[in-house]
Amino acid sequence: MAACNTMQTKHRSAVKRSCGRFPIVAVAAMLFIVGTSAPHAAESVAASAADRRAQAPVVAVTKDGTVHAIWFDKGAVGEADRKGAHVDGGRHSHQAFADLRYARWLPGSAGFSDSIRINPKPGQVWGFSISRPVIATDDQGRIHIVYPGNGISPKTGKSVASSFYSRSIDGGQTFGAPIQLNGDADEDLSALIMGGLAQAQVFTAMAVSEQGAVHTFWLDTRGMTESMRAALYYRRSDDGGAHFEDEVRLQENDQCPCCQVSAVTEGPSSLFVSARQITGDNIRTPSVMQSADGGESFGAPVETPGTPWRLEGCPLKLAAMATTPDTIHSLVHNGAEDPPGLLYARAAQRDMSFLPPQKIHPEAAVSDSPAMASIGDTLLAAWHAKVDGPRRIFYRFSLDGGESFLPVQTLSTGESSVGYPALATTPDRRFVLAWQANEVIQVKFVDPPRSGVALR
Amino acid sequence: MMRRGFAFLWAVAGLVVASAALASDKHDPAKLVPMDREALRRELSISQGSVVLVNLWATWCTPCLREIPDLLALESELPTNDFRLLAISMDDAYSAGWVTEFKAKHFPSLVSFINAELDMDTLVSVIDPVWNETLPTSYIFNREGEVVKKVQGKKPIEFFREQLAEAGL
Repeated sequence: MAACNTMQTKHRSAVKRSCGRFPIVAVAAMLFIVGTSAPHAAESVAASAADRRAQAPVVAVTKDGTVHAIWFDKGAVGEADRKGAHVDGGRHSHQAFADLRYARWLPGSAGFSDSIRINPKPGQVWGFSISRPVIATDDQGRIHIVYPGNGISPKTGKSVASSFYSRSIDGGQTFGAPIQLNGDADEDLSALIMGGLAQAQVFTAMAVSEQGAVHTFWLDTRGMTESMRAALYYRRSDDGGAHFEDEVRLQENDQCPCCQVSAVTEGPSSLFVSARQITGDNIRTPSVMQSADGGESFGAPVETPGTPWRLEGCPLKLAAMATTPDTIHSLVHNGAEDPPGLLYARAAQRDMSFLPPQKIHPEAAVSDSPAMASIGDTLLAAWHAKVDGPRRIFYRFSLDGGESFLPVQTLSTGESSVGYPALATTPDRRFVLAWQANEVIQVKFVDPPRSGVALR
Repeated sequence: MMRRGFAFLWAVAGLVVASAALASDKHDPAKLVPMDREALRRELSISQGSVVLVNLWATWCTPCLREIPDLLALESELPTNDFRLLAISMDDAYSAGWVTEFKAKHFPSLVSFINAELDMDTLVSVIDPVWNETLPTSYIFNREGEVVKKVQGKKPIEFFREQLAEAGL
């Protein structure tokens, strides 16, 4: 009967019936399912309130198994037009006066705690689905958060968007006052950027080592000219976020200014950062840089493979990354593919030479918003895509470090408008999947299969 | 007298038809009109007979903002009964207030709608079910209401002139 209970997921009533009438058949069916590859997953729980407009979820897990989630809160359903009056004089029009909310799901509890606001004053967050915040944890149980925020430059008096960091050292009960990661800019680029921002120092990324080294990156318009290219900046803390080194201009103004940055660590000293360079005639080229010495130095950007995507516009496309032993994995949208979609590629960390890419979801008419996470050699990719109908969330496991992938699976999400998946892993080797359903944040566990028939 | 009466009726009927066909021009440029899926279908339907350029823009998309003056120039140089610029802001509809202010300041003559759906994809799927949420994106419709060109990224005005000519203008 215990076996029957573990199967009470999507087809609860059917399984109960089977248990009552044909227990042997039910157990056999369960063994078949587990033995062939279908992962079992608990029902999802909501992290945000139903009457709030929540976007852009991300999750992380501490060693005690607590799931930590953050997201942008855009206000109550029906609440219109936040003016941003809190930002002294600020009325910029690249505007998003959101809040950053945090909630945690303690092991053994039924769901998430009530959420708390991370930004000190309401509306201080520059929040869109495509400018996600980032959350990460370390072995000390510290919770690290970066997010894009609104502000007024003390040098120009104009509205700017900046990158902020905050952390919790008490398991998420409280968060410290946010610190601004980027330096203030001297230039007023309002005429160039338009939309009301004098500078944009956002699309912030972060990776945190188990030992507590905090690596932050952002795209920065300082030095931007008519060619509309941003620089990539880096700032690091070696003491769990208590203090940060000075910012470093990692890449000159050759970066797509409205693309997203991502970062991932491997062990105590290996670090990868992915951004999208502008090469040639406005080709938006995803690339990965590696540091083998904990951020002291970085190698040259290495392009991830794919059809050159020429675009003078805003791709707003994140390159998801993950590591398995000795390998770096990249999953990124390419608008030049036909149909446009996500390309997966991997490279050995020792030479950073990416193998030819493959479409992660060949049947999709369009696929986007990638996320990846790994446990040992098990790799999980998630994304949103359209096949024949509305946008849905899909995922796919590799059990051999990206050599091959199991078939694409669809996350059952009912009739909601869903998207923007995010992933994390737990100490007991489970995956945590978060996503946006309408404008409510949902979270569930997804377990890797023990085996399965892979598609190469 | 009878003939004069018929002429008057024809003139009235013609005005009604023309005003329906040029629904966009009835919108006050100072206002940003919310647009959901049904409204988009309706606007496209009543625009049949004209070549239509649907332009998706947003205040946070700098290349979009740099493209709009060219689109307005096209609108002014093309015959109003033959061409329609149908601009749709992809900004959050909850922010319609300040987007209206922004538009009034920078593009006061631009007649624009604003997405009223929950997300960008829901609205744009009416035109393009496989849109990849990249801005700016424009769609050129021929007089039969068919999409004949999808344009992504900012393009020079001459490019649009050529595409509109190919669409029948």
